[in-house]
Amino acid sequence: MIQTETCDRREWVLSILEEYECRLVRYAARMLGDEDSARDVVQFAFMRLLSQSPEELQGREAQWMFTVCRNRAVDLIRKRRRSRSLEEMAAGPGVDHEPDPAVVAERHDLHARLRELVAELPPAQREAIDLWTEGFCYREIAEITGNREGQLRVLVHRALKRLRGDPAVRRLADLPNETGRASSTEPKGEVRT
Amino acid sequence: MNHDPNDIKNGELDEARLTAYALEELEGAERAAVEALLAGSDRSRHTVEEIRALAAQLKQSARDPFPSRSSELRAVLEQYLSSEEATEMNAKPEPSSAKTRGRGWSRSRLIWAAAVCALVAVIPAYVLISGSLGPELQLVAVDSEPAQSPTVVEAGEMVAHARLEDVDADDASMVGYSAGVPIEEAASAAEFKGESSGLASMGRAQRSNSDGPVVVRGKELQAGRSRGVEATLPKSPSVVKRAQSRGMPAVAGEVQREVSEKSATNGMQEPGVFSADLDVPSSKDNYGAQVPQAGGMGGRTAGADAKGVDPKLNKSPYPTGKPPMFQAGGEVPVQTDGGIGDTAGDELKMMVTPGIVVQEEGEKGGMMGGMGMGGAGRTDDMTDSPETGLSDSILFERAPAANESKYAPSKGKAPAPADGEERYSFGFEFRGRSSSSGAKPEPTAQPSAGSQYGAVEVQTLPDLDVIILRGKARDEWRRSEEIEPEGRRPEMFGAGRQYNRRAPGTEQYEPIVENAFLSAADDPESTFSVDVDTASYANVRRFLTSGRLPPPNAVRIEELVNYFRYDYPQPDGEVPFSVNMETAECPWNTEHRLVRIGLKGREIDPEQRGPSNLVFLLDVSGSMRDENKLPLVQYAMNRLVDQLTEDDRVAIVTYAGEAGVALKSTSGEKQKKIRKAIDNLSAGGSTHGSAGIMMAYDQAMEHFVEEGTNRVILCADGDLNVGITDDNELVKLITQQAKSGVFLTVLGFGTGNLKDAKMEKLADKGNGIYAYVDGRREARRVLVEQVAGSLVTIAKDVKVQLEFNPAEVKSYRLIGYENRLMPPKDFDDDSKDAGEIGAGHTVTALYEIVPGNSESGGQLGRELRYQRKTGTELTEAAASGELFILYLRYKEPEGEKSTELTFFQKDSDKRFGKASADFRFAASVAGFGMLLRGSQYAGDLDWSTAEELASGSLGDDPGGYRNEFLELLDRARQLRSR
Repeated sequence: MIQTETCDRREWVLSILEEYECRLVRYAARMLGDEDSARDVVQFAFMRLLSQSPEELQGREAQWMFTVCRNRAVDLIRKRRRSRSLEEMAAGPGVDHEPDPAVVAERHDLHARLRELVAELPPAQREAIDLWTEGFCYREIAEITGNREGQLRVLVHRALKRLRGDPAVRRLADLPNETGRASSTEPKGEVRT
Repeated sequence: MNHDPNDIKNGELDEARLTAYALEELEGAERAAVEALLAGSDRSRHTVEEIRALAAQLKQSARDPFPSRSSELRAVLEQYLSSEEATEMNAKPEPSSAKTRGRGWSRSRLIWAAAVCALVAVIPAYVLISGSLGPELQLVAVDSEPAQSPTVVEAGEMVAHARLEDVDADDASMVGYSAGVPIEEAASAAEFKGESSGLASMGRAQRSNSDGPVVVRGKELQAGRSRGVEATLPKSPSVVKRAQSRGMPAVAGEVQREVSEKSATNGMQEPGVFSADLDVPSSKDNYGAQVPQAGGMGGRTAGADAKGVDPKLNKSPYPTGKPPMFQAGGEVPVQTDGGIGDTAGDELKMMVTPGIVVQEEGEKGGMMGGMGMGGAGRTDDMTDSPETGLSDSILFERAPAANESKYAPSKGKAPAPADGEERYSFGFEFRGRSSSSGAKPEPTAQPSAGSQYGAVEVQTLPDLDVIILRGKARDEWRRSEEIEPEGRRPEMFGAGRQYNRRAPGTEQYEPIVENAFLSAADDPESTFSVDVDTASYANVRRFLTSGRLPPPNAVRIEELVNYFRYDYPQPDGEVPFSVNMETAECPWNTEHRLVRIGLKGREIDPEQRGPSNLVFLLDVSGSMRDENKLPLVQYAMNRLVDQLTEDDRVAIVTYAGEAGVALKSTSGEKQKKIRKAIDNLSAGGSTHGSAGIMMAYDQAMEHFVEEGTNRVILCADGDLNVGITDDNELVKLITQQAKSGVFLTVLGFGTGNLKDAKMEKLADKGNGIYAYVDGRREARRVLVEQVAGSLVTIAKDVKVQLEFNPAEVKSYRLIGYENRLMPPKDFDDDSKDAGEIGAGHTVTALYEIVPGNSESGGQLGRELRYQRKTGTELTEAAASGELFILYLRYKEPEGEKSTELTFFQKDSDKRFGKASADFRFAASVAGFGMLLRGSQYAGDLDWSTAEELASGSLGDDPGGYRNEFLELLDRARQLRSR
């Protein structure tokens, strides 16, 4: 009996590892700006997981894991802040401003541009977007980040608005010109009908 | 970037809603509303399309880069899991360090909340307070010690953990946002409040006197919340820089400010005075949450006196030996460095352990009069005046030097303040909101986590005299909105609860601080919700028969009293119950009077009851295998089935093991089929719970009977993993279902893992009863003898309010009902949930009254029968000789509007011996409860007197319950005398 339970636990933990490790690392890396710290954070989260009961977490494992990672990452960021100068902080903890040639070359790519823009979003917005793209719904994100859902809506909205407003994104995503949007709507509609 | 929601531009919310719609995040009415809007706006439709297109791209973009797996992590985990297996095989869970193995986490659904800081004079000092995520808030004692701290971890380290499981993240970030701090900061704004916005809104700092400690009181209003704040700190320079957590996820808040900043702060009236703000997030787990009302000081009486700790209260809460420290709490020392002054640095050392003692503050004994319910109805003052703000505090008493050797060697200490004491006193308000990622009760919790539902727990340390918690906090906590998902803030009222002994195993009891005597002039109104639960008695019986004394918090006196049947007359007329009052001499204090208020619900002939639509929701996890669990459930069910007729329906849904519908709703006449399903139930298996409770409600709704009883009967031993992991959601669901007519009855079984407080709360929310079934007899009693009562609700939201006449009553004390108290103003508020009365149920409440007259201290501001609004003048009615007027409100089971009844009571100067047998018996049961609790209000009562009282009032005793009580009394006496 006890053995069965432990076996199940084992499977449970390993299945979560299987499913979420990479996503968690990616997520944490976005927050922290480097993969090494991100892996530490993820490891920390899995250590926490070990003392959780599967039944307790049932159905919200992902959310739980992301929450733990996030909080751990927030800690780290806060810690770093103490040793960093204010300017560095202002630049944001997770943004690497070294103009990586590869990155520059990639700028033309929509996805790269989006990633870049997301990284430059105010932290609260960026976080909301990061979690949303990880597949969490508003409610879950609100729980993870501790926002009210209404607040979160605004955050996501602002973020998307900013992304949508970026000329490069509009161009690459083939969205009509911001300014011409109102007028271009009608013709488009006609074409479709 | 300012994220203050108030800052949201016009129309932005609408835009945000549109975005949410585009992302498929809207549901129901809101979604429909947006769709309607879209139909009329090409532009909006276009926007939606654009957002969707972009969002899809965004999602894709987020896939890169995709990090690789780490074989190292896997190896670490595997290794851990193997060692765990080995450990479990040996059945010896090894307590290992949280740091390396994450073990500590299990204790920590205790989440730690936040904390913060107090800076005085030149001194940023910094105090850590951690609130556990569990409803127990862990408060921390603070002491001074030279800076020889072991490892020092930065404060931030702990913060995240707190947030992790829950912490009122919502508020945290709100605060952060509104203060314009960056997200990282906002993330833990709860903890860091003082640093940003908290400070700014602090007000009313003042020095209590020129030489003594500086008292800072303040309040903060933000987003509709307010918190009282008070800090009393010595004027010794110290700066706390870091906090450390050992083995526990804890939270530390940090506030460090330069003096100049302080002086510039709004609301600070004196330079160099700094106020602290504590923010204690709570968890949704907070069933029965209750802040131990240490002291229960009322708004007015608490006064500005932070001294005068009763020495007799300074004893360890643990009867023998040292408290098991750190078990659940961990240690959170805070180091202070040298500070700005020239004194050596202090270390503030904090320590937290659940399970403890909250002491009263004030002069011996007398204090109580002003405490407890002292704050009734006066919440508003609280945030408005510094005086009342004080009622909202926690006091950390510092130990005398002699005791300090262990944690605080005296060398290098900062000079003690003039009065030789350092005090750290904080006021705060608990906020009930919580998010759903919060912790769940966990059967495997450490023993010390015993009182999970206990709100605040404060541990006195060997080197600390006493820790005081007082005021509003507990009240806030107690009726807080974890349980009230709609998020209404509870107001201040009534007594709190007290911790002392730990429950065995992982049984969890809500701490109880007994109601205190309250002045009839200042707190004329006493309001409570009826309670027909009887679980506590059965549980106490279980303890006593197994040769142990129950933990005091397992003893709920009203449930003991209500376990017994009293021969109150049947109601006549329309009213569903009769009200029977009696007054006589109080047996444990002959100068006092004892008032009994007895309600009796109309009895319904079992033949006449409407059809019952029952759904059993059974825990069939492995732990239910014990003979006193599932087999007992089966027995109870079979006995119930005996009673069912063709009009009734029964269904069985299981969870936590083989989850699913074991028996679809079946007519009561198909006895064979039902019994077969019952017999086939078995505990075990490893399928994890599924949506058990939803299935149960679905079954109930499917065969909903209009004119009868619809009820889900949850049978569990403590594992309440019914399929909804979010406690808030669970409560919401239960409340909602109760509104739509499906009530929830909770039957507790077994030992060792009983989630007493939570079960009670769930039943409470579900308009049902909570009973503990400790044997076949109880199974029969609950499900058979009381089948009509247990199943047929005849009145709901039954509230009782007494207004005492200060011309006749000096003070009064409600015996028991600690967790049923309501703020007086909720009495008229039909939206406030209260207890239900079933057919034939009796509800008995006892008040101990100190006769005489009392004078009010001031404004009452309300219309009363016996006093003018000013509170200094009595009305004509006061001369009537009435002790009190009793108002009773209830709703018909299906009704939404309350009916109010009024009764008066005069004292007939009856001697105890002349009182009815029921009166005397009820008094003896209450006395028994007080003795078991070790109550300070037991007066002259001792075990043999209690036995005498009981044996002289057995009456006919149908069922032999009173005789059984006599045996229990005897047992308890023997156990106690050992």
